[in-house]
Amino acid sequence: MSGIDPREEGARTMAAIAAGDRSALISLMERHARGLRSIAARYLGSEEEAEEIVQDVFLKAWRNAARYDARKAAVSTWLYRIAINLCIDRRRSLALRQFVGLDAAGGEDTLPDISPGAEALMDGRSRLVLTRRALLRLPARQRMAVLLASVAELSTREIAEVLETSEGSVEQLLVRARRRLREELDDTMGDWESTGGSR
Amino acid sequence: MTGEDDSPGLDDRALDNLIRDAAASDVDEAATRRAVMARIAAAERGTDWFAWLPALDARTAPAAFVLMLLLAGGGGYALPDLLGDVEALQFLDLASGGVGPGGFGALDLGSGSG
Repeated sequence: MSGIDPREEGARTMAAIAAGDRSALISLMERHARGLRSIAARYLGSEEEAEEIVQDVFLKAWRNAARYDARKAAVSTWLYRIAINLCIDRRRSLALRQFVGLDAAGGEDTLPDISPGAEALMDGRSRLVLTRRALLRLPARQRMAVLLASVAELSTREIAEVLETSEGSVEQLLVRARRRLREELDDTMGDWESTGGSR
Repeated sequence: MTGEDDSPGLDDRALDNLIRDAAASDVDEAATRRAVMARIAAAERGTDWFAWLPALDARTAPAAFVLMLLLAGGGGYALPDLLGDVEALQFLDLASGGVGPGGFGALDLGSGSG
């Protein structure tokens, strides 16, 4: 790393991409694709949709690299903002597809069809499944805020930039999201363990 | 990674770890990179005819969408009949806000809020 400012390094990468350097785009993907996919998948509740979102983010980054301004945001913040906008668009288009009859109505969030009581579930895996379900039940902005904080490890200020809101609002979203997750996980994990699912 | 028997009463750190673990995806990242590079190459070769769609702006995309719906309705077709399934979905993605702020995405068709 040799003390290079990440923002400066990001600016250099984006300048290279703007100049048509594909290897710079590949290194950008290597650095950020995993985090972006994790967030999109848990926000949309679908790995397939998340894959499309991630591809679209990097296509947009490729096409719009020249517009990136390092003074305004770190590259990661810029990419997450693109991803969040695409995720919101995707949720809307899913609703629109149902409206015009292209898709069967599937509810706002598609929950994985996994019963917490199934014997096949291992303890650790069950926790992850329950956590995913609990995340999907959060209101959209709370879900996004907590994913950006916990998964992308963005600061409150950076999350505020991505969500285009104030730091105070982000703090409120995070407090509410964590409280709700904690309550739900305590309930569901307690129920599951009391029915014999625990180690 | 979570490593703790943190139920009930998860602390913030345990909760963050749990969320991080739950969010992890086991996917082929190299395949994603290949797909992106292939899409870029297709757009540059001009074989991705939907590459022109980003040229639509927030005003023209909804108008184009309504026009397509009228054409479909007038001819008794479903949108996929006119465009093909994949293209219809792409078109709807675009019309529902993919072109930037505004677009058809200005219509909130049920996205959640918190």
